[in-house]
Amino acid sequence: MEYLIPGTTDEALSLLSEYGDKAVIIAGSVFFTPHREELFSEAEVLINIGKLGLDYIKVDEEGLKLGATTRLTSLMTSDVTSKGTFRVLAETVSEIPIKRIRDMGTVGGEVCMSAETDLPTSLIALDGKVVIASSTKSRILPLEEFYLGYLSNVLEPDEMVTEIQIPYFPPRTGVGFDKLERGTVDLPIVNAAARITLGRDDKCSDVKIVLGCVAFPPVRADNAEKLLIGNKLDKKLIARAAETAADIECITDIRASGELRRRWGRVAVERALNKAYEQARGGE
Amino acid sequence: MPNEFSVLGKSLPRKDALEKVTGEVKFVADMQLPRMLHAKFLRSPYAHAMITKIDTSRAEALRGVKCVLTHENTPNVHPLGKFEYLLDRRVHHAGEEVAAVAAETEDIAKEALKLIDVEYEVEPAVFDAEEAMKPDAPLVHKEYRTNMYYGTEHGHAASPSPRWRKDGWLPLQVGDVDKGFAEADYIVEGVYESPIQCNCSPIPRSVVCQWAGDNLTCWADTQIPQWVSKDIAKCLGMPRSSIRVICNWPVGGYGSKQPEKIATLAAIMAKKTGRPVKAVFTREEEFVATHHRPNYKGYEKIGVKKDGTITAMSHRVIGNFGRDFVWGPEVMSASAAATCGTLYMYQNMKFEGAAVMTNIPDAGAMNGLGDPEMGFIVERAMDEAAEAIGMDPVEFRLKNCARYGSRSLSRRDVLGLSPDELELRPDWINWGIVGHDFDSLQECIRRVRDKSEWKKKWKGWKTPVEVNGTKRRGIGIAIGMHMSAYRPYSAIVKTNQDGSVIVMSMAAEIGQGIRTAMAQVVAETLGINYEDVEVLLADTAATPEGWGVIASGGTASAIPAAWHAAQEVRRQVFNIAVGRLGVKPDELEAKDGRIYVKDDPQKSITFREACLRGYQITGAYVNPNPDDLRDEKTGKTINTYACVATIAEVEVDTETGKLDVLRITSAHDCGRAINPQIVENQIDMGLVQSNGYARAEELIVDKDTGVVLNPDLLDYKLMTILDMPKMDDMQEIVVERPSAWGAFGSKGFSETGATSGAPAIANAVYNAIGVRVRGEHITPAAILEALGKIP
Amino acid sequence: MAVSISLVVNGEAHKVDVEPWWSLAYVLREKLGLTGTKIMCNNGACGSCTVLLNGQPVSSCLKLAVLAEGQNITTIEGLADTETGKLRPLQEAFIKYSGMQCGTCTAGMILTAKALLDENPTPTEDDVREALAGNLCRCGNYKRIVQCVLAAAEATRGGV
Repeated sequence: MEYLIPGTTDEALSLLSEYGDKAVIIAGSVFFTPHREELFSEAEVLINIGKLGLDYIKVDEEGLKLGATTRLTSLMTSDVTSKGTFRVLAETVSEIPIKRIRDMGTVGGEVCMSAETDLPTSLIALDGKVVIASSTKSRILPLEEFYLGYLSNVLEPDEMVTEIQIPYFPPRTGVGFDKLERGTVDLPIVNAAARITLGRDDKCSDVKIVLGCVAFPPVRADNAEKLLIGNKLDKKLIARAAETAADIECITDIRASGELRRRWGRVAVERALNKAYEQARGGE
Repeated sequence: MPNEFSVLGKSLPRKDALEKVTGEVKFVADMQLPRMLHAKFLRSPYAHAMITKIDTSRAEALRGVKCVLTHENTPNVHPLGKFEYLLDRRVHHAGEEVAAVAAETEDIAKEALKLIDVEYEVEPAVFDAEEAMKPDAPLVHKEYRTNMYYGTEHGHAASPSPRWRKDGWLPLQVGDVDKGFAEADYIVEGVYESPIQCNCSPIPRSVVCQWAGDNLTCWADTQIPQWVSKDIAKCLGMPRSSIRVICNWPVGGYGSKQPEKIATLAAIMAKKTGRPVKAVFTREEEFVATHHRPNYKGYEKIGVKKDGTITAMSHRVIGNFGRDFVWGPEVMSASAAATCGTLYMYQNMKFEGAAVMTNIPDAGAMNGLGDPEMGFIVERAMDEAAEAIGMDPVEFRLKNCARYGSRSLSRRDVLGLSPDELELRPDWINWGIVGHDFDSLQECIRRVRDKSEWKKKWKGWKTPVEVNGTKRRGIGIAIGMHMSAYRPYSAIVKTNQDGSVIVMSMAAEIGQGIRTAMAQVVAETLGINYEDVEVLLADTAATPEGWGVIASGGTASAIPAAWHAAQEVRRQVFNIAVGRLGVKPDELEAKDGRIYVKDDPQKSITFREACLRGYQITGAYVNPNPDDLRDEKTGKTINTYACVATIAEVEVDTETGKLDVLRITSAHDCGRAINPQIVENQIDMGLVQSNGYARAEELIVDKDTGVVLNPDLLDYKLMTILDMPKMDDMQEIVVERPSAWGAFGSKGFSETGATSGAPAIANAVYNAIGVRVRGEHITPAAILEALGKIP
Repeated sequence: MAVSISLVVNGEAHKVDVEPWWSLAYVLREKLGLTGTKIMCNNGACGSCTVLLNGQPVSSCLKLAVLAEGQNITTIEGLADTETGKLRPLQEAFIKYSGMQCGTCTAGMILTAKALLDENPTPTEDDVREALAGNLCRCGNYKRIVQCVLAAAEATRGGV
């Protein structure tokens, strides 16, 4: 296996077009070990994308832009992600209790893993978009269209993710995230993110509810959203919405049964909605 | 207890601390020898199958591969005490070794495994113990007619005991249980399960084997070097004098650290290749190819009178011991003898235990050897009994727990022999009594009751301590005990001419602190500095016979041997002093490196001088037969145990089922604390492991294939620092009721710590939520199911 | 095909040939003979293999060796003063208060605690628990480990 460190994104992309699925991209080095052996056994080249200058958190007139190799910890320390609707990114990362994982992990890694991770759930709630580049073209997709299933996404062999983009939201928008795990050192069993915008009449003018890890890809709880939109919110209504959101077929695996996921899903959605509502009312 | 000692009872720094904080400590897995080869093992994906074809030619052709072993080119022998062969044509569990490879690098060895072609003829398998007991169940070992371990000739040959019936059941009976139940005001009956718990030894097992001519050196990460030596000797037909097993730094075995057969396989490969061979299990192999605490299913029936007297107890236990096991009979008989036969006072008791074989990974010893398993069952049942009569569960334990004079039984009596002396016992049970030195349960219970503020917190049955929204707090108690095994053991203490001393013992320092404790005991005995005593452990070429460290045998057996050996040195040193000082030996004292006349302390010689004069002073000692320990008053055998009482305070979130353990108060009788810090270390170990046992450590075995689905530390969940209470809420209480024979009264007590934590938590959860969880784990899913919140 | 990289470990530069898929833990232990870094789970879950990269804890079993090039790696062997052999306050606290039993988690615990104390010289018990949340100790020595870290902080007010 060869080890290559391209200095520019173009270089990296031309390597990808040459090696395709014989290439493994590396940045943070946080793996699922069972997958690590598989990943490396087929690969001919290891491409380190750490020197491409993709470690950034920027804001411009369109919104927030996160480079693919931005460390998760940076989302907790940056001023930009410490307030407003972007604050949920800091909160999501802070829910990973192990510092070395936060320090090693990257935004791109979390997004591309297409498995039990937290950040994508919040990014989808924030209407996040993923910028996918190859040497021949570039495309931008809503993140929910990026995922196909467990460990499966739309990336072609010659493509890589370079950036995540998050739009601005109107005032009185709040976003909340919550998750439940079995223990401290764990993958999320369920997580949920919710975004609420309140109109001038204090009614819910916009809402998005996303459930992660109950199924793959993450699930949009539009039935629950319908209960909230156009209505004045309170704890009871939110609880009902949460119940509706979680009333879906959840996966059963060695980590948890579908039943437990359904119950925990309800709790996670309820808590995420309450946090979002709290923030929206705070009027930041 | 006033501390009149110089070295004993002090929290001196551990002998192994420095190398562990600097990274100098070299575990077997860290060893590197010139020209060393790396071994890897190919494992069966099927729970039960016949190998119809095995072709290693492609693997052997791979550059860097030096040796490949299969059943076709390996001696057809049974490892010590096992049903299995070294490598077998038939595989009996998913994960059993099928081939071994030694290669220049780990990567090449792993690659070679992929090049071994195996064809299997899959056969029916059984994974549940009760299923395996049915007459038409698939047989785990086809050459025997039954899946009941003691229904087989092999079982009896490996572990002879007249007590086990030919149908495979271990029966014990005292009094008349039918009469006892008839007298009861209330009868509590229930089925409880205690789960498999994996040892999860922090460093997976490892060996390095190297030959010099016909002499083998095997560095082994093991608790029982003597076993490894015997095992290799048996399999390879060698005298033990040609096998040197060295365990400089074995690591946290918690009962399971034997290399299983990898020592023998590595030795064979080392001989064939003429090079050292190192085999280190992966974490996955540590789960599937070692042995674990067995799952028990317990059918309990307890009869109680309104005044709290237990009128009868009936225990029917089925243990799932997996494919093969060495310690199965030990585990079951410990459960019978201790938790069932001794923990509570009774007139009428019946016990029936079955050790059943199934096609899952082997069961065997883990911290507590049968008492945590049984305690998790019995103490939940006892809690129900106390509730039936509306009695405070603390009062119930105080009233009924073992005390001086009450009936006691040892594992040896139940089993009929110990593995190191194949002596058949007559067909009667040697009922002993609880001696004065075990009469500490009531004190343990009282002290935890007071420290935990039980009287303030426990508000009665069906009443939680506190309710805050969806969160409910509960408090619960459990008691426990475990043998403090006094076994045959020996030690040598020898002086150096500079007055420093070396202790030689077959005990192994697995982290429990034995090197430190042994040095303190010897230093105290000889009246010299702790720094001048060093301990050479676990080297079969140099250290005298002993059973390693298992079944709390370290402080209970190895240290007394060292203590007596040191006393022998002291006698010889006094004889030299007598010659120099012209007094009688009983006029002398040894302290601070001097031997002096008690009435005239200026008259002295230094210990150093005595050593120089003596040229080589050596004390050797072999522990006597434990049957000779008798109560002075009654003449009955006293079976020494260590005991514990634990109270747990928990909070359950009824919304999510999540459980927080807020506080643990636990009192342990350690006889005498040789090193208080290390005593606390060991108490904490039991508490953390028993928390994991109850709350989270779930080994998931596929019901259809028998494959272990979570052989890693992400999905087999160990307790983390955040799962345990904060410092002030981990309340360890040390009770000192000196042992009748232990060094300065000390007892082996560490395993006891693992026995009561789980049921204390279970009983606290009941107090919080009002519903009993009788199954294997108190996980969020189990709690929510009990509450009817998930189906 | 091996790659030649330069690793700076405990202040010393080493040139070593590695395969791209080798973890830093593997290279430290097998190629540089620095076996003070222990491997317990090989999966990032236990923290025993923690080393410091530019002062920050990483799981060396996950971190590919090639990615550690150009960074300052600190292993447990690098803590004591190389000139005088003097131990750090953390190491002394672990000795004094019996912060270890089998010793497998010790290096990871000490290095993770060092990173904490470098950033926060006066941690509370909660701070210490949070910092060590991802370090497993099968011997259950958590309480004493927290005591050791707090004692080390006390002893030096942070200069660890």
